[in-house]
Amino acid sequence: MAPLIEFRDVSKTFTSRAGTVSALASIDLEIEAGEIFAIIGHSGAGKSTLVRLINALEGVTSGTVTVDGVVISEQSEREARRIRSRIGMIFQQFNLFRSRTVFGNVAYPLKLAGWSKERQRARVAELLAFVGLTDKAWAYPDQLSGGQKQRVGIARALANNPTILLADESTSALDPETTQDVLRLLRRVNSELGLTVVVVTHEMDVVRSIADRVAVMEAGKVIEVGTVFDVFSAPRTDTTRRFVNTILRNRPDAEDVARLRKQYEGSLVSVTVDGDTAIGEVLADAVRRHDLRFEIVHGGIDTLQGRSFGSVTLALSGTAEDIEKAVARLGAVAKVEVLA
Amino acid sequence: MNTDWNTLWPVFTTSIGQTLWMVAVTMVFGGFFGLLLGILLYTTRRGGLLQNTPLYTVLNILVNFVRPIPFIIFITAVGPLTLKVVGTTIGTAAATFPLVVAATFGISRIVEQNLVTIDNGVIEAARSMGAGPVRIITTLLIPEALGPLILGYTFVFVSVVDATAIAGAVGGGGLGNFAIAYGYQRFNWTVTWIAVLVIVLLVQVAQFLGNWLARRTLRQ
Repeated sequence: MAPLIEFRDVSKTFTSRAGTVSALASIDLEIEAGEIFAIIGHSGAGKSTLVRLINALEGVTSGTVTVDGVVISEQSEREARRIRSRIGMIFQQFNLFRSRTVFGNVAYPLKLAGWSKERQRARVAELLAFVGLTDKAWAYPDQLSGGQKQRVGIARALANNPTILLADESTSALDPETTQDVLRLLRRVNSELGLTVVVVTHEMDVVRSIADRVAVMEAGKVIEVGTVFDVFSAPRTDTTRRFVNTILRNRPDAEDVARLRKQYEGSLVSVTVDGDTAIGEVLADAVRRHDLRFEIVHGGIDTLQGRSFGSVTLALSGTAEDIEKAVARLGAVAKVEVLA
Repeated sequence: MNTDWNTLWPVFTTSIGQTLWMVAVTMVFGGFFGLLLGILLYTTRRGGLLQNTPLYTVLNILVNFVRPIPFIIFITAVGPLTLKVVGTTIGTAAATFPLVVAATFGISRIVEQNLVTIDNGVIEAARSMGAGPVRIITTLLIPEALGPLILGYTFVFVSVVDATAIAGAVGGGGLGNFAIAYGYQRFNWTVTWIAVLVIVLLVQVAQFLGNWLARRTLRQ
Protein backbone atom coordinates (compact mmCIF):
# COMPACT_ATOMS: atom_id res chain seq x y z
CA MET A 1 0.00 0.00 0.00
CA ALA A 2 1.23 3.46 -0.82
CA PRO A 3 2.13 5.63 2.15
CA LEU A 4 -0.46 8.21 3.23
CA ILE A 5 2.05 11.06 3.14
CA GLU A 6 5.04 11.02 0.87
CA PHE A 7 7.89 13.53 0.43
CA ARG A 8 9.94 13.08 -2.73
CA ASP A 9 13.18 15.04 -3.02
CA VAL A 10 11.61 18.06 -1.35
CA SER A 11 13.59 21.25 -0.97
CA LYS A 12 12.46 24.58 0.40
CA THR A 13 14.29 27.89 0.45
CA PHE A 14 13.14 31.16 1.93
CA THR A 15 14.06 34.36 0.15
CA SER A 16 14.18 37.58 2.07
CA ARG A 17 16.00 40.88 1.82
CA ALA A 18 18.85 39.31 3.77
CA GLY A 19 19.28 36.63 1.11
CA THR A 20 18.28 33.03 0.52
CA VAL A 21 18.06 30.54 3.35
CA SER A 22 17.73 26.83 2.74
CA ALA A 23 15.14 25.45 5.16
CA LEU A 24 14.79 21.93 3.77
CA ALA A 25 17.14 20.01 1.48
CA SER A 26 16.25 16.87 -0.52
CA ILE A 27 13.81 15.35 1.93
CA ASP A 28 12.55 11.85 1.20
CA LEU A 29 10.07 10.61 3.76
CA GLU A 30 7.08 8.32 3.96
CA ILE A 31 4.41 8.36 6.63
CA GLU A 32 2.06 5.40 6.76
CA ALA A 33 -1.68 5.57 7.36
CA GLY A 34 -2.65 4.96 10.97
CA GLU A 35 0.71 5.56 12.59
CA ILE A 36 1.92 8.19 15.03
CA PHE A 37 4.94 9.65 13.35
CA ALA A 38 7.26 12.00 15.21
CA ILE A 39 9.62 14.53 13.69
CA ILE A 40 12.26 15.58 16.19
CA GLY A 41 14.95 18.20 15.86
CA HIS A 42 16.36 21.30 17.49
CA SER A 43 14.75 24.66 16.74
CA GLY A 44 15.66 25.78 13.24
CA ALA A 45 16.11 22.21 11.99
CA GLY A 46 13.21 22.71 9.58
CA LYS A 47 10.65 20.43 11.23
CA SER A 48 7.89 23.05 11.49
CA THR A 49 8.40 23.96 7.85
CA LEU A 50 8.28 20.29 6.89
CA VAL A 51 4.95 19.70 8.62
CA ARG A 52 3.45 22.81 6.95
CA LEU A 53 4.12 21.29 3.55
CA ILE A 54 1.66 18.50 4.35
CA ASN A 55 -1.30 20.90 4.40
CA ALA A 56 0.31 23.34 1.96
CA LEU A 57 0.48 26.21 4.43
CA GLU A 58 3.93 26.50 2.89
CA GLY A 59 4.81 25.64 -0.70
CA VAL A 60 7.78 23.58 -1.84
CA THR A 61 10.67 25.05 -3.84
CA SER A 62 11.23 21.72 -5.58
CA GLY A 63 10.09 18.13 -5.22
CA THR A 64 6.61 16.80 -4.46
CA VAL A 65 4.48 16.20 -1.40
CA THR A 66 1.72 13.64 -1.88
CA VAL A 67 -1.11 13.27 0.60
CA ASP A 68 -3.56 10.41 0.14
CA GLY A 69 -2.71 10.10 -3.55
CA VAL A 70 -3.00 13.83 -4.30
CA VAL A 71 0.12 15.86 -5.03
CA ILE A 72 -0.79 18.69 -2.67
CA SER A 73 2.35 20.65 -3.51
CA GLU A 74 1.04 21.20 -7.04
CA GLN A 75 -2.55 22.20 -6.23
CA SER A 76 -4.01 25.65 -6.72
CA GLU A 77 -4.60 27.66 -3.53
CA ARG A 78 -8.35 27.07 -3.89
CA GLU A 79 -7.92 23.31 -4.16
CA ALA A 80 -5.36 23.29 -1.36
CA ARG A 81 -7.91 25.03 0.87
CA ARG A 82 -10.39 22.24 0.24
CA ILE A 83 -7.83 19.57 1.11
CA ARG A 84 -6.63 21.55 4.14
CA SER A 85 -10.10 21.47 5.67
CA ARG A 86 -9.67 17.70 5.99
CA ILE A 87 -6.30 17.88 7.73
CA GLY A 88 -6.42 18.96 11.37
CA MET A 89 -3.65 21.01 12.91
CA ILE A 90 -2.77 22.00 16.47
CA PHE A 91 -0.15 24.49 17.61
CA GLN A 92 2.31 25.26 20.38
CA GLN A 93 0.50 28.48 21.34
CA PHE A 94 -2.92 26.84 20.77
CA ASN A 95 -3.99 29.70 18.48
CA LEU A 96 -7.54 29.81 19.76
CA PHE A 97 -9.82 32.67 18.71
CA ARG A 98 -10.09 34.90 21.80
CA SER A 99 -13.27 36.54 20.55
CA ARG A 100 -15.11 33.21 20.45
CA THR A 101 -16.21 30.83 23.16
CA VAL A 102 -14.96 27.25 23.31
CA PHE A 103 -18.11 26.31 21.40
CA GLY A 104 -17.45 29.04 18.81
CA ASN A 105 -13.87 27.90 18.34
CA VAL A 106 -14.80 24.27 17.77
CA ALA A 107 -17.72 25.24 15.52
CA TYR A 108 -15.58 27.59 13.38
CA PRO A 109 -14.31 24.97 10.88
CA LEU A 110 -17.84 23.57 10.62
CA LYS A 111 -19.15 27.06 9.85
CA LEU A 112 -16.50 27.38 7.14
CA ALA A 113 -17.62 24.06 5.70
CA GLY A 114 -21.24 25.25 5.64
CA TRP A 115 -22.75 22.89 8.22
CA SER A 116 -26.24 23.72 9.47
CA LYS A 117 -26.52 25.24 12.96
CA GLU A 118 -28.18 22.09 14.25
CA ARG A 119 -25.51 19.70 12.96
CA GLN A 120 -22.81 22.08 14.26
CA ARG A 121 -24.32 21.92 17.75
CA ALA A 122 -24.48 18.14 17.75
CA ARG A 123 -20.93 17.77 16.42
CA VAL A 124 -19.44 20.28 18.88
CA ALA A 125 -21.16 18.51 21.79
CA GLU A 126 -19.70 15.22 20.60
CA LEU A 127 -16.19 16.69 20.27
CA LEU A 128 -16.27 18.44 23.66
CA ALA A 129 -17.33 15.16 25.25
CA PHE A 130 -14.41 13.41 23.53
CA VAL A 131 -11.85 15.88 24.92
CA GLY A 132 -13.63 16.13 28.29
CA LEU A 133 -14.61 19.81 28.18
CA THR A 134 -18.40 19.64 27.94
CA ASP A 135 -18.78 21.99 30.92
CA LYS A 136 -16.52 24.63 29.35
CA ALA A 137 -18.53 25.13 26.16
CA TRP A 138 -19.43 28.74 26.99
CA ALA A 139 -16.09 29.74 28.51
CA TYR A 140 -13.70 32.00 26.62
CA PRO A 141 -10.12 30.84 25.90
CA ASP A 142 -8.72 33.38 28.38
CA GLN A 143 -10.55 31.56 31.16
CA LEU A 144 -8.91 28.19 30.42
CA SER A 145 -5.65 26.60 31.54
CA GLY A 146 -2.98 25.66 28.99
CA GLY A 147 -4.01 22.00 28.96
CA GLN A 148 -7.66 22.92 28.47
CA LYS A 149 -6.75 25.28 25.65
CA GLN A 150 -4.91 22.52 23.82
CA ARG A 151 -7.90 20.20 24.30
CA VAL A 152 -10.06 22.84 22.62
CA GLY A 153 -7.42 23.06 19.89
CA ILE A 154 -7.65 19.30 19.40
CA ALA A 155 -11.46 19.34 19.35
CA ARG A 156 -11.38 22.14 16.78
CA ALA A 157 -8.83 20.28 14.65
CA LEU A 158 -10.98 17.14 14.72
CA ALA A 159 -14.26 18.90 13.90
CA ASN A 160 -14.26 18.23 10.19
CA ASN A 161 -13.49 14.51 10.54
CA PRO A 162 -9.94 14.73 9.22
CA THR A 163 -7.84 11.67 8.47
CA ILE A 164 -4.61 13.38 9.47
CA LEU A 165 -3.74 15.43 12.55
CA LEU A 166 -0.63 17.62 12.51
CA ALA A 167 0.70 18.58 15.93
CA ASP A 168 3.29 21.34 15.82
CA GLU A 169 5.09 21.42 19.21
CA SER A 170 1.67 20.90 20.70
CA THR A 171 2.93 20.22 24.22
CA SER A 172 5.97 22.50 24.34
CA ALA A 173 4.10 25.22 26.25
CA LEU A 174 2.71 22.80 28.83
CA ASP A 175 4.02 21.46 32.14
CA PRO A 176 5.07 17.78 32.27
CA GLU A 177 1.86 16.50 33.81
CA THR A 178 -0.40 18.35 31.37
CA THR A 179 1.89 17.21 28.56
CA GLN A 180 1.12 13.60 29.44
CA ASP A 181 -2.64 14.37 29.50
CA VAL A 182 -2.48 15.88 26.03
CA LEU A 183 -0.30 13.04 24.72
CA ARG A 184 -2.82 10.50 26.06
CA LEU A 185 -5.52 12.38 24.20
CA LEU A 186 -3.46 12.31 21.00
CA ARG A 187 -3.00 8.57 21.42
CA ARG A 188 -6.79 8.20 21.71
CA VAL A 189 -7.19 10.29 18.57
CA ASN A 190 -4.97 7.74 16.87
CA SER A 191 -6.34 4.53 18.36
CA GLU A 192 -10.05 5.35 18.76
CA LEU A 193 -10.61 7.60 15.77
CA GLY A 194 -7.96 6.09 13.52
CA LEU A 195 -6.22 9.31 12.56
CA THR A 196 -2.67 9.38 11.33
CA VAL A 197 -0.86 11.75 13.70
CA VAL A 198 2.27 13.68 12.76
CA VAL A 199 3.97 15.11 15.83
CA VAL A 200 6.66 17.78 15.57
CA THR A 201 8.68 18.17 18.74
CA HIS A 202 12.05 18.91 20.27
CA GLU A 203 11.27 16.76 23.30
CA MET A 204 12.45 13.16 23.21
CA ASP A 205 9.98 12.34 25.96
CA VAL A 206 7.11 13.09 23.60
CA VAL A 207 8.57 10.74 21.02
CA ARG A 208 9.02 7.98 23.57
CA SER A 209 5.51 8.44 24.96
CA ILE A 210 3.46 8.18 21.80
CA ALA A 211 5.36 7.72 18.54
CA ASP A 212 5.56 4.56 16.48
CA ARG A 213 8.22 5.87 14.16
CA VAL A 214 10.49 8.87 14.30
CA ALA A 215 12.49 11.02 11.90
CA VAL A 216 15.42 12.99 13.29
CA MET A 217 16.09 16.31 11.55
CA GLU A 218 19.14 18.50 11.51
CA ALA A 219 19.91 21.55 9.38
CA GLY A 220 17.03 20.93 6.97
CA LYS A 221 17.77 17.25 6.45
CA VAL A 222 16.31 14.01 7.75
CA ILE A 223 19.35 12.32 9.24
CA GLU A 224 17.71 9.24 10.71
CA VAL A 225 14.35 7.55 10.39
CA GLY A 226 12.92 4.32 11.76
CA THR A 227 10.88 2.80 14.56
CA VAL A 228 11.34 4.56 17.87
CA PHE A 229 12.92 1.40 19.30
CA ASP A 230 15.44 1.05 16.48
CA VAL A 231 16.43 4.69 16.46
CA PHE A 232 16.69 4.88 20.27
CA SER A 233 18.50 1.62 20.74
CA ALA A 234 21.02 2.11 17.97
CA PRO A 235 21.43 5.83 17.20
CA ARG A 236 23.69 6.30 14.21
CA THR A 237 24.43 10.02 14.51
CA ASP A 238 25.70 12.25 17.29
CA THR A 239 22.56 14.38 17.18
CA THR A 240 20.34 11.36 17.70
CA ARG A 241 22.62 10.07 20.43
CA ARG A 242 22.33 13.38 22.22
CA PHE A 243 18.54 13.29 21.91
CA VAL A 244 18.46 9.75 23.27
CA ASN A 245 20.69 10.82 26.16
CA THR A 246 18.17 13.47 27.18
CA ILE A 247 15.83 10.74 28.36
CA LEU A 248 17.91 7.56 28.66
CA ARG A 249 20.86 8.49 30.80
CA ASN A 250 21.99 4.93 31.22
CA ARG A 251 25.37 5.09 29.53
CA PRO A 252 28.17 6.68 31.53
CA ASP A 253 29.81 9.66 29.83
CA ALA A 254 33.57 10.32 29.99
CA GLU A 255 33.25 12.09 33.34
CA ASP A 256 31.25 9.23 34.85
CA VAL A 257 33.81 6.70 33.59
CA ALA A 258 36.71 8.62 35.16
CA ARG A 259 34.91 8.71 38.51
CA LEU A 260 33.96 5.01 38.33
CA ARG A 261 37.50 4.02 37.49
CA LYS A 262 38.76 5.73 40.62
CA GLN A 263 36.09 4.10 42.73
CA TYR A 264 36.20 0.51 41.46
CA GLU A 265 38.94 -1.98 40.64
CA GLY A 266 38.80 -4.24 37.63
CA SER A 267 37.28 -3.73 34.20
CA LEU A 268 34.34 -1.50 33.44
CA VAL A 269 31.96 -3.13 30.98
CA SER A 270 28.77 -1.66 29.51
CA VAL A 271 26.14 -4.18 28.49
CA THR A 272 23.23 -3.13 26.29
CA VAL A 273 20.02 -4.77 27.36
CA ASP A 274 17.25 -5.04 24.82
CA GLY A 275 14.14 -7.17 24.63
CA ASP A 276 14.71 -10.45 26.39
CA THR A 277 18.43 -10.36 27.00
CA ALA A 278 19.23 -12.41 30.12
CA ILE A 279 22.55 -11.14 31.46
CA GLY A 280 21.73 -12.02 35.07
CA GLU A 281 21.97 -15.69 34.35
CA VAL A 282 25.27 -15.31 32.54
CA LEU A 283 26.71 -13.28 35.42
CA ALA A 284 25.48 -15.73 38.06
CA ASP A 285 27.04 -18.56 36.11
CA ALA A 286 30.36 -16.72 35.81
CA VAL A 287 30.42 -16.09 39.54
CA ARG A 288 29.67 -19.74 40.26
CA ARG A 289 32.26 -21.22 37.92
CA HIS A 290 35.09 -18.72 38.21
CA ASP A 291 36.40 -16.55 40.93
CA LEU A 292 34.71 -13.49 39.47
CA ARG A 293 33.02 -10.67 41.33
CA PHE A 294 30.91 -7.95 39.84
CA GLU A 295 29.23 -4.75 40.90
CA ILE A 296 26.50 -2.86 39.02
CA VAL A 297 27.82 0.70 38.94
CA HIS A 298 25.74 2.63 36.42
CA GLY A 299 22.77 2.31 34.13
CA GLY A 300 19.07 1.70 33.89
CA ILE A 301 16.47 -0.29 32.00
CA ASP A 302 13.42 1.39 30.48
CA THR A 303 10.45 0.30 28.45
CA LEU A 304 10.22 1.45 24.86
CA GLN A 305 7.29 0.50 22.65
CA GLY A 306 6.58 -2.41 25.02
CA ARG A 307 10.14 -3.74 24.95
CA SER A 308 12.79 -3.55 27.65
CA PHE A 309 15.65 -1.40 26.67
CA GLY A 310 18.65 0.08 28.40
CA SER A 311 22.20 -0.45 29.48
CA VAL A 312 24.03 -1.42 32.65
CA THR A 313 27.68 -0.84 33.40
CA LEU A 314 29.46 -3.45 35.50
CA ALA A 315 32.75 -3.38 37.34
CA LEU A 316 34.20 -6.89 36.94
CA SER A 317 37.08 -8.01 39.15
CA GLY A 318 39.03 -11.25 39.07
CA THR A 319 41.85 -12.67 37.00
CA ALA A 320 42.31 -11.24 33.52
CA GLU A 321 41.49 -14.64 32.08
CA ASP A 322 38.23 -15.00 33.99
CA ILE A 323 37.15 -11.48 33.07
CA GLU A 324 37.86 -12.20 29.43
CA LYS A 325 35.80 -15.38 29.55
CA ALA A 326 32.89 -13.64 31.24
CA VAL A 327 32.97 -10.80 28.71
CA ALA A 328 32.95 -13.29 25.87
CA ARG A 329 29.93 -15.10 27.31
CA LEU A 330 28.08 -11.81 27.89
CA GLY A 331 28.95 -10.88 24.33
CA ALA A 332 27.13 -13.97 23.13
CA VAL A 333 23.80 -12.74 24.56
CA ALA A 334 24.15 -8.97 24.45
CA LYS A 335 26.10 -6.08 23.01
CA VAL A 336 29.10 -5.55 25.26
CA GLU A 337 31.51 -2.68 25.30
CA VAL A 338 34.65 -2.70 27.43
CA LEU A 339 35.14 0.89 28.52
CA ALA A 340 38.62 2.16 27.89
CA MET B 1 -24.63 91.61 29.10
CA ASN B 2 -28.03 90.34 28.07
CA THR B 3 -28.33 87.41 25.80
CA ASP B 4 -31.37 87.40 23.56
CA TRP B 5 -32.27 83.69 23.69
CA ASN B 6 -35.46 84.24 21.71
CA THR B 7 -33.43 84.89 18.58
CA LEU B 8 -30.47 82.71 19.51
CA TRP B 9 -32.37 79.56 20.40
CA PRO B 10 -33.31 78.55 16.81
CA VAL B 11 -29.74 79.16 15.66
CA PHE B 12 -28.45 77.13 18.61
CA THR B 13 -30.66 74.09 17.94
CA THR B 14 -29.88 74.23 14.22
CA SER B 15 -26.18 74.29 15.10
CA ILE B 16 -26.54 71.23 17.31
CA GLY B 17 -28.38 69.48 14.48
CA GLN B 18 -25.66 70.41 11.99
CA THR B 19 -22.89 69.14 14.24
CA LEU B 20 -24.72 65.88 14.91
CA TRP B 21 -25.39 65.43 11.22
CA MET B 22 -21.79 66.10 10.16
CA VAL B 23 -20.41 63.81 12.88
CA ALA B 24 -22.89 61.03 12.07
CA VAL B 25 -22.29 61.10 8.31
CA THR B 26 -18.53 61.30 8.82
CA MET B 27 -18.48 58.40 11.27
CA VAL B 28 -20.66 56.20 9.06
CA PHE B 29 -18.94 56.84 5.72
CA GLY B 30 -15.46 57.66 6.99
CA GLY B 31 -15.76 54.70 9.33
CA PHE B 32 -16.73 52.34 6.54
CA PHE B 33 -14.17 53.52 3.97
CA GLY B 34 -11.52 53.82 6.67
CA LEU B 35 -12.18 50.22 7.66
CA LEU B 36 -11.77 49.10 4.05
CA LEU B 37 -8.62 51.13 3.54
CA GLY B 38 -7.19 49.93 6.86
CA ILE B 39 -7.86 46.29 5.98
CA LEU B 40 -6.24 46.88 2.59
CA LEU B 41 -3.17 48.41 4.23
CA TYR B 42 -2.94 45.48 6.64
CA THR B 43 -3.47 42.69 4.14
CA THR B 44 -1.29 44.00 1.31
CA ARG B 45 1.74 44.62 3.52
CA ARG B 46 4.72 42.26 3.42
CA GLY B 47 3.71 38.85 4.73
CA GLY B 48 0.03 39.84 4.67
CA LEU B 49 -2.88 37.73 3.48
CA LEU B 50 -3.04 39.52 0.12
CA GLN B 51 0.57 40.64 -0.03
CA ASN B 52 0.92 43.21 -2.82
CA THR B 53 3.93 45.44 -2.33
CA PRO B 54 3.22 47.98 -5.13
CA LEU B 55 -0.37 48.53 -3.94
CA TYR B 56 0.75 48.78 -0.33
CA THR B 57 3.44 51.32 -1.21
CA VAL B 58 0.98 53.51 -3.10
CA LEU B 59 -1.65 53.38 -0.33
CA ASN B 60 0.93 53.93 2.37
CA ILE B 61 2.32 57.04 0.69
CA LEU B 62 -1.18 58.35 -0.05
CA VAL B 63 -2.23 58.00 3.60
CA ASN B 64 0.99 59.58 4.80
CA PHE B 65 0.45 62.44 2.36
CA VAL B 66 -3.11 63.25 3.38
CA ARG B 67 -2.96 62.74 7.15
CA PRO B 68 -0.64 65.56 8.20
CA ILE B 69 -2.52 68.28 6.28
CA PRO B 70 -4.22 70.57 8.84
CA PHE B 71 -7.99 70.27 8.38
CA ILE B 72 -8.54 74.00 7.91
CA ILE B 73 -6.23 73.81 4.89
CA PHE B 74 -7.49 70.43 3.72
CA ILE B 75 -11.12 71.64 3.62
CA THR B 76 -10.20 74.42 1.18
CA ALA B 77 -7.58 72.40 -0.74
CA VAL B 78 -10.09 69.72 -1.76
CA GLY B 79 -12.57 72.43 -2.84
CA PRO B 80 -12.53 71.46 -6.54
CA LEU B 81 -13.23 67.83 -5.65
CA THR B 82 -15.99 68.85 -3.23
CA LEU B 83 -17.56 70.91 -6.01
CA LYS B 84 -17.60 67.84 -8.29
CA VAL B 85 -19.02 65.48 -5.67
CA VAL B 86 -21.39 67.67 -3.67
CA GLY B 87 -22.09 70.37 -6.29
CA THR B 88 -21.16 73.26 -4.02
CA THR B 89 -18.27 74.33 -1.81
CA ILE B 90 -20.46 76.12 0.72
CA GLY B 91 -22.71 74.69 3.42
CA THR B 92 -22.96 71.72 5.74
CA ALA B 93 -22.84 69.07 2.99
CA ALA B 94 -19.80 70.76 1.46
CA ALA B 95 -18.07 70.63 4.82
CA THR B 96 -19.01 67.01 5.37
CA PHE B 97 -17.28 65.73 2.23
CA PRO B 98 -13.75 66.74 3.30
CA LEU B 99 -14.60 65.49 6.79
CA VAL B 100 -15.40 62.04 5.39
CA VAL B 101 -12.22 62.00 3.29
CA ALA B 102 -9.98 63.08 6.16
CA ALA B 103 -11.67 60.63 8.54
CA THR B 104 -11.22 57.79 6.05
CA PHE B 105 -7.47 58.29 6.01
CA GLY B 106 -7.22 58.82 9.75
CA ILE B 107 -9.33 55.77 10.58
CA SER B 108 -7.42 53.58 8.12
CA ARG B 109 -4.27 53.92 10.22
CA ILE B 110 -6.13 53.14 13.42
CA VAL B 111 -7.68 50.04 11.83
CA GLU B 112 -4.31 48.94 10.46
CA GLN B 113 -2.62 49.41 13.84
CA ASN B 114 -5.24 47.35 15.64
CA LEU B 115 -5.14 44.54 13.10
CA VAL B 116 -1.36 44.32 13.34
CA THR B 117 -1.69 43.29 16.98
CA ILE B 118 -3.55 40.10 16.03
CA ASP B 119 -1.34 37.06 16.51
CA ASN B 120 -0.27 35.54 13.19
CA GLY B 121 -0.77 32.09 14.69
CA VAL B 122 -4.51 32.68 14.87
CA ILE B 123 -4.57 33.51 11.17
CA GLU B 124 -2.50 30.42 10.42
CA ALA B 125 -4.97 28.32 12.42
CA ALA B 126 -7.84 29.64 10.31
CA ARG B 127 -5.85 28.96 7.14
CA SER B 128 -5.19 25.42 8.31
CA MET B 129 -8.96 24.91 8.46
CA GLY B 130 -9.29 25.94 4.85
CA ALA B 131 -10.43 29.54 5.34
CA GLY B 132 -9.75 31.96 2.46
CA PRO B 133 -8.64 35.60 2.86
CA VAL B 134 -12.14 37.11 2.72
CA ARG B 135 -13.49 34.70 5.33
CA ILE B 136 -10.49 35.35 7.54
CA ILE B 137 -11.02 39.13 7.33
CA THR B 138 -14.74 39.06 8.03
CA THR B 139 -15.06 36.20 10.50
CA LEU B 140 -11.73 36.41 12.28
CA LEU B 141 -9.74 39.64 11.97
CA ILE B 142 -12.59 42.03 12.72
CA PRO B 143 -14.08 40.04 15.62
CA GLU B 144 -10.63 39.48 17.15
CA ALA B 145 -9.77 43.20 17.00
CA LEU B 146 -13.28 44.50 17.76
CA GLY B 147 -12.63 45.79 21.29
CA PRO B 148 -9.60 47.93 20.35
CA LEU B 149 -11.36 48.98 17.12
CA ILE B 150 -14.30 50.36 19.11
CA LEU B 151 -11.90 52.34 21.30
CA GLY B 152 -10.11 53.56 18.16
CA TYR B 153 -13.38 54.74 16.62
CA THR B 154 -14.32 56.47 19.86
CA PHE B 155 -11.01 58.31 19.74
CA VAL B 156 -11.70 59.33 16.16
CA PHE B 157 -15.19 60.53 17.15
CA VAL B 158 -13.65 63.17 19.40
CA SER B 159 -11.33 64.31 16.59
CA VAL B 160 -14.27 64.52 14.21
CA VAL B 161 -16.26 66.69 16.64
CA ASP B 162 -13.14 68.87 16.85
CA ALA B 163 -12.87 69.07 13.07
CA THR B 164 -16.56 70.02 12.61
CA ALA B 165 -15.78 73.31 14.41
CA ILE B 166 -13.75 74.23 11.33
CA ALA B 167 -16.74 73.59 9.07
CA GLY B 168 -17.84 77.11 9.89
CA ALA B 169 -15.01 78.33 7.67
CA VAL B 170 -16.92 77.15 4.61
CA GLY B 171 -20.36 78.01 5.94
CA GLY B 172 -20.99 74.56 7.29
CA GLY B 173 -22.43 75.81 10.55
CA GLY B 174 -22.40 73.63 13.60
CA LEU B 175 -21.66 74.27 17.28
CA GLY B 176 -18.08 75.41 16.67
CA ASN B 177 -19.24 78.06 14.29
CA PHE B 178 -22.01 79.03 16.72
CA ALA B 179 -19.49 79.53 19.51
CA ILE B 180 -17.27 81.70 17.33
CA ALA B 181 -19.90 83.73 15.48
CA TYR B 182 -22.34 84.32 18.35
CA GLY B 183 -19.98 84.01 21.31
CA TYR B 184 -16.40 84.99 20.58
CA GLN B 185 -17.05 87.61 17.91
CA ARG B 186 -19.82 89.27 19.99
CA PHE B 187 -17.83 89.08 23.22
CA ASN B 188 -20.57 86.91 24.67
CA TRP B 189 -18.84 84.43 26.96
CA THR B 190 -22.12 82.83 28.03
CA VAL B 191 -22.87 81.71 24.47
CA THR B 192 -19.32 80.47 23.98
CA TRP B 193 -19.44 78.42 27.16
CA ILE B 194 -22.87 76.98 26.46
CA ALA B 195 -21.61 75.78 23.08
CA VAL B 196 -18.50 74.36 24.72
CA LEU B 197 -20.66 72.62 27.32
CA VAL B 198 -22.77 70.92 24.64
CA ILE B 199 -19.65 69.77 22.78
CA VAL B 200 -18.12 68.40 25.99
CA LEU B 201 -21.38 66.62 26.78
CA LEU B 202 -21.47 65.09 23.30
CA VAL B 203 -17.89 63.85 23.62
CA GLN B 204 -18.53 62.50 27.13
CA VAL B 205 -21.56 60.51 26.01
CA ALA B 206 -19.63 59.11 23.02
CA GLN B 207 -16.62 58.20 25.16
CA PHE B 208 -18.85 56.54 27.76
CA LEU B 209 -20.68 54.53 25.10
CA GLY B 210 -17.44 53.56 23.39
CA ASN B 211 -15.84 52.40 26.64
CA TRP B 212 -18.92 50.47 27.60
CA LEU B 213 -19.13 48.71 24.23
CA ALA B 214 -15.41 47.94 24.19
CA ARG B 215 -15.57 46.54 27.71
CA ARG B 216 -18.45 44.33 26.71
CA THR B 217 -16.56 42.93 23.74
CA LEU B 218 -13.36 42.52 25.73
CA ARG B 219 -15.32 41.07 28.69
CA GLN B 220 -13.06 42.69 31.26
